[in-house]
Amino acid sequence: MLADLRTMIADVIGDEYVSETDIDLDTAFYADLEIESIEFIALGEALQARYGDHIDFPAWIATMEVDDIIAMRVGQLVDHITGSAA
Amino acid sequence: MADLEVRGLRFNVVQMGPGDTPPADDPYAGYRLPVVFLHGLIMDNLSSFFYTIAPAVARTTDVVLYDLRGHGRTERPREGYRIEDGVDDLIGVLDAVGITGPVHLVANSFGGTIALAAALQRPDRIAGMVLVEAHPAFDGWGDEMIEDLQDLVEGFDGPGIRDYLAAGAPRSLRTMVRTCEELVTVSSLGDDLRSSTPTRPEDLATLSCPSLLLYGESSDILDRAFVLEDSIPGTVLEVVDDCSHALLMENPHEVERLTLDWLDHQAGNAWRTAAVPGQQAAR
Repeated sequence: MLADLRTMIADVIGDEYVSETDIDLDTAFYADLEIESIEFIALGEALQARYGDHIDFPAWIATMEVDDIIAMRVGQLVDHITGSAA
Repeated sequence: MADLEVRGLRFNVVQMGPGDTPPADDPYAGYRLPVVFLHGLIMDNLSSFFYTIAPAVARTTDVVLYDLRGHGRTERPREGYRIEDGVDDLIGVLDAVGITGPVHLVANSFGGTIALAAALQRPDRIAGMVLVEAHPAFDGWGDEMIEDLQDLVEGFDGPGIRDYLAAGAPRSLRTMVRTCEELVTVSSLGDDLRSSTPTRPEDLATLSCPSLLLYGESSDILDRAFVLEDSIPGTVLEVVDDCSHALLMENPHEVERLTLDWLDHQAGNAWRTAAVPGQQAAR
């Protein structure tokens, strides 16, 4: 799944800004990848298209405070996807 | 479903909603209209509603968010920024997602400029609106907007700012500056805003759809709120304490509460009208 995610993240942000090899479970979306808020939404859309609507990215984001969203790491997203799919 | 072709342009559109199973605790399920969110000008995109009130609205009804032309992840053409284009884009996006009946609009700042024009031009499609810090296109509005935007862009040439941008400013800041410069100095936005058909208070007096006005108590455009309140029949103005023009960012919880209450009220009216014909007019 991490390989999939790396590709999707690089597609959304643009590979001129981020290399797939820079992304691991501990990578922070905002601090490390400088992802923009609109890109994070696009990533959520891509995830739902890939893994199914049960991921419900908007509802998941709505449960968080802004500080939690800003601090989010790739591993948390993986946990959400695998948890939703279970 | 993120990219939709509308009027020859690729629009970034996000849809949310309860799907086939509206929440069991919603007494008005089946009586709610889709809600469309319209964001503000230049430094804004659909994320300002996505991260604030849109998910709460989407719990009970279908929601559409999109990036206005030139903004966010929607294409940025050089032309087509008149308010009339904004209305045509809105109707085009609705057609493209298959919503052909009336909707409710929730709009912020410049989104409110478009919402007011849409309500006047397409009363068949706009059933009501929540206007957050709306910027009505009264006479002189285009000049005022573009002067503010030109001041903003000229500010990028201030001491050290170009060096900072080139030497590793956050990517989001560089994107914001590029967006501003392309819209303000490259595109026809300025000319288009100036040449748009003004919204006149006497025209607003003909509006028949319900509306809610939300403004911050220290907003620099609070004077417009009072003109709108005086002009739009039956509208309600709520002024939120300790907030400025950035009301949506400064107190999203209060904007959410007032918006959900208003949407519940509209759905309740639809429910009563269906249950007892003629009842709505009596209330």
